[in-house]
Amino acid sequence: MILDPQQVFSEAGACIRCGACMEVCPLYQLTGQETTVARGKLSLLQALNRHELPPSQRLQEILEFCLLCGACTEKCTARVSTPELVKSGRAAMRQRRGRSWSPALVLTALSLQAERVLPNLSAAGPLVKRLKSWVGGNSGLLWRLWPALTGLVGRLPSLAPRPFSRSAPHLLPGRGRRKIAFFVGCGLEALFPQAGLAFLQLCQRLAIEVIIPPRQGCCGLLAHSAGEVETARELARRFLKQFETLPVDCIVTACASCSYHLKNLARLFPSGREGESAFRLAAKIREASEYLVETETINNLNFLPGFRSQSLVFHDPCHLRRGQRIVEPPRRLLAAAPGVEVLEPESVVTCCGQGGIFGICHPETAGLIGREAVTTYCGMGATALVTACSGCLAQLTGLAPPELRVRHFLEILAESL
Amino acid sequence: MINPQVLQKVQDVVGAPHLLTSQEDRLCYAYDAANLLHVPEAVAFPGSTEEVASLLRLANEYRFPVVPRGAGTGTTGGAVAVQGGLVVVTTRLNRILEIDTDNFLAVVEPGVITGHLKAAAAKEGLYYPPDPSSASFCTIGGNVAENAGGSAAVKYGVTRDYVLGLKVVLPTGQIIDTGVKTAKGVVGYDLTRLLVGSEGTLGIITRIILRLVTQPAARQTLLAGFSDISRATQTVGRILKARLGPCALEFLDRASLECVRDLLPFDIPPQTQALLLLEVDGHPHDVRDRVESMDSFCRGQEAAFVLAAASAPEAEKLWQARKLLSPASFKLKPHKLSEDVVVPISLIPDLVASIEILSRELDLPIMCFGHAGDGNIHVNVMYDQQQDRERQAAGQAVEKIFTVVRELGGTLSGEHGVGLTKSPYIGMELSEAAIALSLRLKKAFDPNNIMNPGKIFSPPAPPPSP
Repeated sequence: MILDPQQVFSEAGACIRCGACMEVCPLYQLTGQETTVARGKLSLLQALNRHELPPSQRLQEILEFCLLCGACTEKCTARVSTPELVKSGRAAMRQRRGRSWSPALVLTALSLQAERVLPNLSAAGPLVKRLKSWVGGNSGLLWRLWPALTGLVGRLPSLAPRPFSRSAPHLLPGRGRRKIAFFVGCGLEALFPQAGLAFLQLCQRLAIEVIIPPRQGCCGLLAHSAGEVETARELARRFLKQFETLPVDCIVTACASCSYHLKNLARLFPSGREGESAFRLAAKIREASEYLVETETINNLNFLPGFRSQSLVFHDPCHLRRGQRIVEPPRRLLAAAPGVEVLEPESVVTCCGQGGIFGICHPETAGLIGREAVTTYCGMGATALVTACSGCLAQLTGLAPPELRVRHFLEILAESL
Repeated sequence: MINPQVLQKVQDVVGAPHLLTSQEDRLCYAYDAANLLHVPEAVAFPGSTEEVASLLRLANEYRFPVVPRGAGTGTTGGAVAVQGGLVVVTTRLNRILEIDTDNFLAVVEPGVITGHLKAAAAKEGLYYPPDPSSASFCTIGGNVAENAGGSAAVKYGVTRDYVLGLKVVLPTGQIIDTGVKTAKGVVGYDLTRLLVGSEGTLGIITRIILRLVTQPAARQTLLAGFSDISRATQTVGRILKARLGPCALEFLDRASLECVRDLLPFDIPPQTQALLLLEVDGHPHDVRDRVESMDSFCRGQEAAFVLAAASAPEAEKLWQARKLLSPASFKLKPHKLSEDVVVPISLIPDLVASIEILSRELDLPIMCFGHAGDGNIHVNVMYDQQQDRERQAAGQAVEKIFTVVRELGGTLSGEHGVGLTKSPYIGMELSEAAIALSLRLKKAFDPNNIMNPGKIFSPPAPPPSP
């Protein structure tokens, strides 16, 4: 997080307005408007910093209309990190405008309580289901009155009957040199515990010792994306306190968004002790596929010979492909599983549309982008759509037809053991 | 100034969702790739020729400036509202209406992305050759208005050579069709050619009839490196003279090479002073033969190495590096004055040598790269605006470069247009009588000077700071 206005100004000023970002921005493709694309947002951020623009409602809308997918940065020859600058802009807007009610804000406030709320959430599963059917999708009366709320409720993925922390041990003993800690993250805790359990299964086979600290919280990405810097800092402090002193080689997480955020925690603390320890700890953070490939442990998995063949397509999470430049590892792992063929779409699908808080604030647009992604994948004849991020899992699960199962890649690997 | 009642009429034409008036929205239409800032009073997105006509009638009646804009990727400030007024964006007029495989034609609206048109033609085995570096995000309407070129021009020519006819809304609101849908046509004055490259000063184009050619069956890309820059520039003319028929012949000097070195799929030896990027297309046998001749010809011209792209993705990577060169040049200095001069092909060595001397004299990095095969060299004067010395030296550099170009019998701009940034210099190329005639033409089209005022022809003034 760059909070120093001067720094934001100089980074945004590196944009030469060539317009190459227009080619790749999913929101520009949809709207054709400059306010949606990096070149426009960077111009506005510069004006805001120079106090030529007030922190208006319209500016807030524009800054919130960004997937933070980073496609622009990948295309940009000046490598301007627009997603990070947009987050700074959102934070500056919060400071100067104060808070206003939004679904994102509610979730951000909840994220502070994640470690208490999530393990108990499964009890609310049936209630959520009823709420969803009562609110009734896009056609109901409530939708017309309050689309943001109904959009949010309608898109809530089904809660797992048993959260991860109720199914997993606090320590998985190993038989070798390798010792890791596992950071679960909200998505895997409440929605996709099977992915976390699959990872533990793989570790067990590989004889890796895994510490799973109890009462883990949220990584803070959601709060950071919403511009709630203080909340993000508080969550970061808790993470540091809990994981800093663990005697492990690596801290592994199976969610691309969590690993991206945790690797960049130091951004939240421009100076001071916390910044230093965040920086030190960042070197230990690994995304699951990154860890398995890097340690070459995957060669020891001894998969069973395949008795059925399946063709999968891997959806690249933004926070994995562009955020961490991890492209090959999950594909290599999947290809190593017997009977698995990994298909590639003609051109890379940029983003599933979930985009941090975007799916919450702009359910309709997020749905459009997500459906287009799903249509691409459906046309490929794959039996399952596989990914590595709880945000993508939530979005794609909600949109994919029944014949295209959406899974975490670790589940596929664990099934082949 | 557009007063609120008039703005309401504008909104009645395009509909509220297609008119932007907030300060925040307008700021995002204050620039193009020339990176100058002039905030317009409103931004309209018309959805039909009739809406464009209604807008221009309003502008003509109430006398406010209208600035047409495609994707805003022009490099001379052509889409910038230097006198305020209404920016008219063509992105909603983005349909490919027809790809006619019987008659080798495409009929498109101006907001179509050039790359999308190329892809749609390729699907039918046809080819739309003009290939500006921004092809994947610029619009065909902007290409026509600026008469865009690109690397394919050495063999295939520029946008102008593919435009058969236009539908244009004149500044008075009349709609005219120019040109033909046929291979030939000589009835009346060639208004099509007058409008192509008129930089949005004569009207707004709302439909374009383009000529297509057959998609070449094969192509091969070569990269030749030279340890001596003058050998490289001399080789350009000699390749053409030897009738080797490249479909692209690009030149990169040392400074340009350094900017994109890490994007290239090959390791380039450190002593390399210049690169030629060559492409041959046509029938597979013919391509193979000509690649061989080109390879040995370059070696005969003392090329230190000649590498061939092993695959289509590798060739794509080479071209990607070339296309990213202009934005990558900012690695050298934060600001640049970018000129796209053209000289007779045989005089490219003289131009590049003069610019090397100038660069040393002024102690500023000046990059030379570009479409050498058609004599079009991009001369980028790199400087830091915060440094007084560099800013002044850069200003001097431009005038000196233009003087050299004119002495060599060249032109100030091959494909970027005049816009705002080059308008102070047009007197170095056009005679007073020619300018006066041009202004009378402008008056005939646009009696109230509402169409993109302040572009191309402006009273002599010191060069604007970029």
